[in-house]
Amino acid sequence: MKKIKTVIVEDSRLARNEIKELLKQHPELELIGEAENVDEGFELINASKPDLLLLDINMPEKDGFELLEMLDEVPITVFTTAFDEYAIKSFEYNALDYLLKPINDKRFSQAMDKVKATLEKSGTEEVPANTERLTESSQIFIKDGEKCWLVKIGDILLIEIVGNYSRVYFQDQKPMLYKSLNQVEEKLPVENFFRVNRQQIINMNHIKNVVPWFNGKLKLSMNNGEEVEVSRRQSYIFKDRMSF
Amino acid sequence: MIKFLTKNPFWIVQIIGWFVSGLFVASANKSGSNIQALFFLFGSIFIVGIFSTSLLRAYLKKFVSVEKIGIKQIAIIFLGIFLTTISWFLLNFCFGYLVGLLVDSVDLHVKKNFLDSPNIGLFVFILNLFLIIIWTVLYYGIKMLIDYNRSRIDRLRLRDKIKQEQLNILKGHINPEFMFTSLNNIKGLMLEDVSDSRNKLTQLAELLRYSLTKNNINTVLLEEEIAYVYNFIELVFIENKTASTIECHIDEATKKLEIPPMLLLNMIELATKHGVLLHNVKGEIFIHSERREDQLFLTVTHSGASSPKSQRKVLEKSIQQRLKLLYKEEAHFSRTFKEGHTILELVLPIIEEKITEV
Repeated sequence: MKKIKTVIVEDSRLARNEIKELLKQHPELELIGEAENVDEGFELINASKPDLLLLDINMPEKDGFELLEMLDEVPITVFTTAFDEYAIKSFEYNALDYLLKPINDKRFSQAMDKVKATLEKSGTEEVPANTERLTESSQIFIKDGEKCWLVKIGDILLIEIVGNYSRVYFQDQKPMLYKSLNQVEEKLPVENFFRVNRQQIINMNHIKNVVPWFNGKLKLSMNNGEEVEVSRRQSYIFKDRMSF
Repeated sequence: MIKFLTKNPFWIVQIIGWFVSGLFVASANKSGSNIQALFFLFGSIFIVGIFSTSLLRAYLKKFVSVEKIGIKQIAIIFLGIFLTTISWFLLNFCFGYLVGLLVDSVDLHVKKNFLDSPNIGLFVFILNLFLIIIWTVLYYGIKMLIDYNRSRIDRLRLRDKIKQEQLNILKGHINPEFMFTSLNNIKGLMLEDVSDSRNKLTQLAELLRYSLTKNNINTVLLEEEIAYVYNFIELVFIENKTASTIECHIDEATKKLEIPPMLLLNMIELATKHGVLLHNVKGEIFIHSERREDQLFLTVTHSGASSPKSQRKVLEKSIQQRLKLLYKEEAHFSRTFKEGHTILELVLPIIEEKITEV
């Protein structure tokens, strides 16, 4: 099996020692780099595209969440923290785990098993060479007010413009993402996401049904009950794409 | 008996009040040559008065609740007053008759007075009514005064309790995050240097013990707190001992002064975790204590600015609140930034005797 590329971001050298010691018992995990602050971590992750990030939350200067906010694409993340569980609890919807320091060996193994399972589920499809765009299984980090989400691209139903930012719909949540819709569109995988009009982008895998609307337009109902109108120009392209 | 009376102020006031009124009415009587008549007057006021108003009290206690006073309650009170007056009047008559059976002359005297001039009967009735009204007003007046006093004491006691609770919450303690981070660091250090990690573990244990045992003590000696400050610093700089220089000037005259526990430790936490450790350069910390008249000045100066994070503000606020609860306005904590250094200053009043339990 392919090794899991792992990165540690942790300010304390002794704590990194500790984690490295724990990693020794898991030969399938390959430590490809470590960073002692958020900025170094950001460089490291962008350069090495790891599968797994072991991230300390509480660091001087910038904290772990700030690192996630900086990243366009977030690797599978396991948080390590000494005490501030409440920070973890701010996650509304997540696919992540956290470990309390000092870390229990058994608990660490469990977390790693979970990571492996997640990777096996999503990792079968080969990551395209074009790394500029995210894939269905990529996850992004969204922080809106006090709440945080790690969202899989494939789970996103709809993204729409709200002022200068965007609102992301997935499951029954719709937090704000502090990026413009055009910025978001550039990163989304082209094969599934479609710009239906000036305001909205939809995920074509989450369309429930399509009805013809007036003026040659189309109306789509999404799986979450939202309805979107496709502009006339985009309707032609849409029909083409769906080979109507 | 005395215990009964102190517990029931009602009976003291009741007996003394009626005794005095009885004497007063008896002595005011102009026709007072007749000793039996005086005895009758005194008895009718004292004995019958006590008896009827005690009944009235029982009635008021049963049917009237002062908390929800309204027209209905006032009507009940007046009905009580009226009934009591009637019963007093009749009892007076019976009393007179009873006295009359024992002493002939009084019987005649009283009977004659009552029967001959109904005006006197009316006068006695009005006098009784008047007395009962005064009694009722006094009864409620005194009752309210006692209740007010009792609730004031309750309130004070409650406020004290709240203050103690607040203080317990605010009482400095070792930050749990620091505890666990240190434990984790020691675990990591074991891979490199076993004997050093053994020392660190002992220091952490001492600090924990200090935090746990001093939690319900109001003051410690400054020198005692300083000893734990060293432990704390050693653990904070567990990774690189040379990263900062620490200088400590504790004035001899201040070593035996009493200070609330954990305040200085919290200041050191501000200076390290929220101070020098934020900057990637070698830091400096100065600890200084000095006595000026009846004030103790404790300053912790560290190089660089302090953290803008909310945890720092929370810690500073907790220090401020603790000072306010312990010393009202007499103690101060301040942070100033001057020439690249942050100065944390704590000014405590020196109280020679122990701070008493709040």
